[in-house]
Amino acid sequence: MGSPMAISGLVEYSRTELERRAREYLSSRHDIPHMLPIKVELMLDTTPNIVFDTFPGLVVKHGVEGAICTQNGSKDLFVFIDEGIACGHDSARYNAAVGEELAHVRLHGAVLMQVKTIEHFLEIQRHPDWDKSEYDARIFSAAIRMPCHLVEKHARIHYCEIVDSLGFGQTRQIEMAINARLARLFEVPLEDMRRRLMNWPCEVMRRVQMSVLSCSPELTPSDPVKKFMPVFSPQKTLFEEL
Amino acid sequence: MAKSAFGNLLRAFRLRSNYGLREFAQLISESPSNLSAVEKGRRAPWRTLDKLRAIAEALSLQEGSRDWDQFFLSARIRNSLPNDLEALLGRDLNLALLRTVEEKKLTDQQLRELIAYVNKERWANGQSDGN
Repeated sequence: MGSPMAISGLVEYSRTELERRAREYLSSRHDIPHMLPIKVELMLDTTPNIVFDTFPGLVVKHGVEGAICTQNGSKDLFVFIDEGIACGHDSARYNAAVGEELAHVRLHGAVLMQVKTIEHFLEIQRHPDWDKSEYDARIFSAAIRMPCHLVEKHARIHYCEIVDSLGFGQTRQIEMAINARLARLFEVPLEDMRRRLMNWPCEVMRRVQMSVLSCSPELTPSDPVKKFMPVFSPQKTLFEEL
Repeated sequence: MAKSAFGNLLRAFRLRSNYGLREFAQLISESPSNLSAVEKGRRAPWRTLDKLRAIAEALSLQEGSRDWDQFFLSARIRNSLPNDLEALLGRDLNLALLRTVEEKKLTDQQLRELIAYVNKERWANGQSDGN
């Protein structure tokens, strides 16, 4: 059997591009209230030509938390979240699922407009070309739900409080405490926040270690050379003041 | 998908109040899937005035305002059924029973068996079997 046909129109993004796009998107959503956790559900629900709904059995029957397709020649894109996740108690998991579908809409909307049914969507998900799209969606979703400047701001606040109470002896405990506090504040899964704190552009964990090593009561500032510095209009944009 | 004036209005009011689907569903003690079904016209609006009032208040609608009247009027229009059915559907468990029957896609024969079961002597006396 030969390799499957490529998915036409699928775009791949660099990490820098995904962070830039996420930040621009957040800045463009002036209609969304300035508050934490970031209201990804409201962002998706108020996106033009999006019909946001729940769907039973996506996880149990198909192993996916969300699905996107068109219906009966409609110009709308139907975005479904697994009913069990939507009706469950885990808000962090729900936000992660919604954030990822929002990311797919923003990054792969043109491809998804060709998807006619949920079965067709599941077929595309199994395609080897889709793996990078999933990865891109996760990065974009993380940047939307945990904007770097807000993670930075709250990591600084919580670092001070935590070392004040725990001292400098337990680096691992300090890291875990920051992770747990920020995950709760941003209403995201612990693992999502851990990755965000570890990786570029936030790189909070590395700076926590530096600060603890030097017994500094302040979180080490991020490296201005490596820091993500997109060019934006000078006025204060949405979510920057949180 | 069936359009519903009430559903469209509810969604518009919800989004105007900056509530996400799940967030608002929690606020009015509904499941997100039920709320979504009502908004999209797959399910009828809630029937009891208390429930509708609670939702209107959650949406910060002012009693006597145009939005308030529109909200209740559209719920009423969607709910315009014969009086006996209206009263029947005012009881939540009756609705739950009908929805269960619909979701399970029971055949006519299964429905007859269900009716026969409900009509058993001990049920006619107003007693449940405790199971």
